[in-house]
Parts: sequence; C-alpha cells; structure tokens
Amino acid sequence: MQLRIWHKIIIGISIPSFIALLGSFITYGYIKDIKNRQGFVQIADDLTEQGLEVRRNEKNFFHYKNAEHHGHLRDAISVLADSIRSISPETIEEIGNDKFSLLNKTIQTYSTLLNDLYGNYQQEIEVTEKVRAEGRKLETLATNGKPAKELTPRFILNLRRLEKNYMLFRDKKSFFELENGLSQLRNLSLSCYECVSYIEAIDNLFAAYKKSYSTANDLQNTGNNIEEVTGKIASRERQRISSFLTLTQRLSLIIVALLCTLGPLFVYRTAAYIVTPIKRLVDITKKISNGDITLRAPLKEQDETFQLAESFNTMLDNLYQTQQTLEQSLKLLRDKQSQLVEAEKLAVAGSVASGVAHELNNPLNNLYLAAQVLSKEIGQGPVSDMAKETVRDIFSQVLRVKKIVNELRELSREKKPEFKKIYLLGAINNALKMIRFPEEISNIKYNVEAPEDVEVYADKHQLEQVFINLFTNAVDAMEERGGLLNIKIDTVGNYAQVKVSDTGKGILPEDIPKVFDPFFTTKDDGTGLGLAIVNCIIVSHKGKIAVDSEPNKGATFTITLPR
Amino acid sequence: MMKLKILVAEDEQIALKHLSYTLENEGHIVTGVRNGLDALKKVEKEDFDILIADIKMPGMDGLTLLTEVKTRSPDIEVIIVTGFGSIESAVDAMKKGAFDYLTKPFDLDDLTLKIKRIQKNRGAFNK
Repeated sequence: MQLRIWHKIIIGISIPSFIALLGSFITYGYIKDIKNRQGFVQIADDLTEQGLEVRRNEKNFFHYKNAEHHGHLRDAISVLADSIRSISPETIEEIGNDKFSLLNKTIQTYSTLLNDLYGNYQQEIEVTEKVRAEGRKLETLATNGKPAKELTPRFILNLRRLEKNYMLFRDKKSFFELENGLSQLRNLSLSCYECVSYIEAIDNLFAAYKKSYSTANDLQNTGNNIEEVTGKIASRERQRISSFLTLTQRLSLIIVALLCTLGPLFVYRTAAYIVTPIKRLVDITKKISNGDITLRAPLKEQDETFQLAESFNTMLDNLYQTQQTLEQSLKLLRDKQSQLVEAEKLAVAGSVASGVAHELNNPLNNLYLAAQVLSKEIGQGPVSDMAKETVRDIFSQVLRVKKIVNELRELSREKKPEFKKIYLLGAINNALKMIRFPEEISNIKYNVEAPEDVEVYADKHQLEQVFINLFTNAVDAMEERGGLLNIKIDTVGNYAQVKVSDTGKGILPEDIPKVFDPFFTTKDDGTGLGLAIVNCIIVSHKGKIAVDSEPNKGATFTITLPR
Repeated sequence: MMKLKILVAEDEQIALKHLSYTLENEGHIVTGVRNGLDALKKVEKEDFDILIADIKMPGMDGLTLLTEVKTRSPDIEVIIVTGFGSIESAVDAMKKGAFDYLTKPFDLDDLTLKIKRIQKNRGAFNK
C-alpha cells in the first residue's frame, strides 16, 4: 500500500519516457542503417563509374580496333570485375545477390565477347589483306592480259574503288554497289581464276565484317546491360536511403505526436492523482470550519493518501469527542454553577435569617425581661383582669417570638454536623425526655417498638432534634383528645426505618405536599419551621422522610436513615 | 438571705434596668455599667460578690473582662450572659473561671436560681 503513489508516478513518467526511448532506439537503428546504405551507394557509384570507363574504352576499341585499346578495355573490365570481387559477401547480401550474380554473368559474357571481337578484328585484318592482295592481282591481270572482254582496267579500278569505299564506309550503299560490281564479276568467273579468288576474298570480307558487326553489337548490348545493372544497383540503394529517411521522418512525427498528447496526459493524471485526495481534504476542512464537524474524509485510494485521510478522520473523531466532552463539562459546570447560586442564595437567606435572629436577640431579651418583670408586678397588684390578661398575651407572644428566633437559629445553624454511629433508641429516648407532655391532658401515651437496637450514621444533636420536633408535633396534634404516640424501629436492607405515628387530628390531603415547606403551619402559634428543620437534617444525613395521614385518624412519619 | 453586691455589665439599657430592678427586689445591692471598661474600673474601686456580664459589649468584651476581673479579684463570681448559639464561648468562659452562663433570652428565675447557688456556696464557705 505504501508504494501506490510511487507506482503511479513511476508509471506516469515511465510511459512517455518509454515511448520516447523506443522512438530514439528505432530512429538510431534507422540512421545506422542509412549510414550503411550510404556506403552501398558509394560502392554502387564506384561500380557505375567503372562501368562507364569500360564503355569509354569500348568506344575507343570500336574505333581503333587495335591491341592497345583491346588491352585498355580488358583492363577496364578487369577493374570492374575485381571491384565486385572485393565487395564483402554481407554487403552483396544486403544489396542483392541476384543483382550481383547478374552483373557477374554479364561481365563474363562481355569478356568473352570482347575476346571474340578481338579475334574478329584480327580476322578482318587478315581478310582485308587477302582482298587487297587479290585485288592487286586482278588489277595486274586487267592491265596485262585480259581474261575477258569486260574485264577492263576501268572496271577493275572501279571495283577496287568500291572495295575501298566499302572498307571505308561499311554501309549498305557501299555494300550493294560492291555486291553489284561483284555480281558482274561473278558472271565472268568461269574463265577468270583470279576473279574467283578475288570474289572469294570479298565474300570472306563480307562474312568477317558481318561477324564482327554482330559481335560488336552483342558487346555493345552487353556493355549496355552492365551500365544498366550498375545503374539499377545505385538507384536502388539511393531509393532505399530515401525511403528510410522518409520512414524515420514519419516515425519521429508519430513519436512527437504521441509524446505531445500522452506526455501532458500522464503528467496531468499523475498530478491529479496526488492532488485530488489533498483537494478533497481541503474541501472537507473548509466545510468543517463552516460548522459541520460530523463530516469525514472519504477513503477512496488505497495508498499513502488513505493513511492521510484515515489519520485526518481519527483526528476529527477525537476533536468531536473533545467537543462533546467539553460540552458536557460545560453543562455540568453550568449545573453546578446554578446549584452554587442556589446554595449561595440559601446561604444568604440563611445568613439573613441568622443575622435577623441575631439582631432580634437583644430586643427579644429586653422584651422578655420586661415581660417577666411586668408579669410579677401585675401579679401582685390590684389591676383589671384585662390588664392581667394583656400581660399574659404579651408574655405568650414574646415566647412565640423566642421560639421563632430559636428555630430560625436552628435552621441557619452553621455548625457542621458530626457524624458518628449512634444508637437510634438512645436518641429517641433522649428526645422523649425533652418533650413536655401537657399536664391538662394526661391521655397521651407513648410506645416504643424496637425489636433490636439499630445503629445509624448521624449527628447526635441533630438526630435528637428531629425526634423532638416530630414528637412535639404528634403531642400537639393529640392535645385535644389524647391518643397514642407510637414509635417503631425497623431495618430495611442497609437502612434503618423509624415510623412515628400519632392518633391525632391528622393532615388534610391538600396540605400533605406542603408540610415540609418552611413557615407552613396549621397551628395558631406554630412557626412552620419544625418539619422544615427535620427535612433539612434528614436530607443532610442522606436519608428520606415521608408522611402519610388521614384527617382525624392521625399521621405517620416514616424516616429512613443509612446504617 | 445574704445581701450580695452585684455588678451588672450590660449595654442594652432596658435589659440593664429590668435586671437591676429584679435583683434589687430580691434584696441585693446592684451596680450597673454599660460597657466593659467601666465594669473593670468599678471592680478596681469596689468589692463585688457577683459580676453579671454580657459577652458582647463595647469597650471590653465579656471574656476579656472575666479574665481581667479574676486577676484583680479572684473571689468574684462571674456569670456570663451569652447571645446566640455561642456554646463554645460559654464553655470557654467556664474554663476561664466563670461560675455559670445564661443564654439570651433567659428566664429571670434561672438567674435567681444561680444566684441562690452562689449564696449557698458563700454561706457554706463563710461557715
């Protein structure tokens, strides 16, 4: 997976490079070939040149017909033949075996014909001599004795003239004229022995000339062939070079065209391949920075960019987690903050209550002392019943204020509770001791049901306060008719349960939810703080309190405390 | 019943008035001061049997007064009147040599009882 990008880059670069390289190799091969061919062309040109030299010598030989020029011609043809022999077999192979074998054959033929022609020319000389000799003989004869009437010197001289013309010109006209003259002579031949010899010699001359003419023609034709073949070889080699050059040109064009199209294509594809994932990441980043933190980079290619995208996504996941955690923490902080504010409000209220209670203490003390003194003074003197009653009212109200101040103090008590293991029964009994059972009605009985003594984790003073308040309420509820205050201790799992029930006047259903509210009271002289204090203490002990009641049937308070 | 010389230090005028009245009605000789420094001056000048002092007073607070008085006249019985929820200071007072303490607002009967106890002790002592 690691090499994927490298792979693509290498491929992207390789393919155009490969094409270029291939093109270069092919072009190099062609050019090497062309260079070789140039050598061949040179060879062919040399041969052609040598061939032309042969033709030149040939012309001279035709003209001079002597040994010297025969020798030159033979040399020229040898030069050509040697040239051919000196060419390497590979080159002959390259240029064309058939051409060379043809050339060789032609040269052979030429040599043979040349020899023949030379022989012919030799013969011509011989025959010409014979003719002249016989001619002279005939001339002599004609001048000296006449074998025939018609054989006049003039005739013979004319014949000799024709003979000379023919030897000179060797054309049809001179031939026919001689032939004519000769035919006249032929008619006389029966009686003229010398004429016959002459005629024979002329006939031989005719034959010899014909022969050499024919041979010369053949030689010339063969010479033409040589020229032709060498010319063909040269032109063919040139042709080959030309077509190679054209091929090379075309190939170069193709390569360039391919490179021009594939090159940019591959570069683009390779670059795009690398850039695309990065662009994708950039896009995602932009979108995320606009707010959508749940977006993730798509995992498309299986290479380094995969790892990059994966890491990116992991980072985003972490970021999201962090964000979530932060939000949660923030929420928690806010909750705690509002709790703190509430607590502080309570604290402030508490301290206000505490402050109020504190401030009230002195005036209260003054009032109380004054009331006590007044009560004593009045008690002894002759004052109206109303005055005495009024004093009693003042007293009772001062006591009421005292109770409120005490309970306020209790409620805003800043003293920290000391939690210890406390026996419930002990606390209950202590509380019972502190309760004032009204003397008017002694019909209030109490009963404690405790199958076992249970220990709870609590502050002794506060626990006693709870029971004092509950028992006081129960007694107050049963004040009119009397009744039974029943206290039952139980264990429920890890908790201790205490049920405080009375048979008093009970609580109205609509009041039940409000009983624990501060300053809620159904008594004329109630402060409304007793149960609020109880609730506060129970809650701080991590316990629970519940109330059950029916009007006129009594009420039961169930307290649950941890053991 | 023995007559006692009682010094009352209390900055609240009404309270001082009623306390003094009640104690005088019971036959004691009562002197009233309204701050701690005055109380100390009085103790230095005269002999008293009992000092009733409020724990919070201008000039000198009750506990300091207690200590000072006890050094000058160790025989004086001091009753400290505490305000609000300061049981610790009451205990502290007892440690420093107070005879007893009262918590405001208190019953005059309670005070009377405590004075009677002092009288008993004095009486026993004197005998």
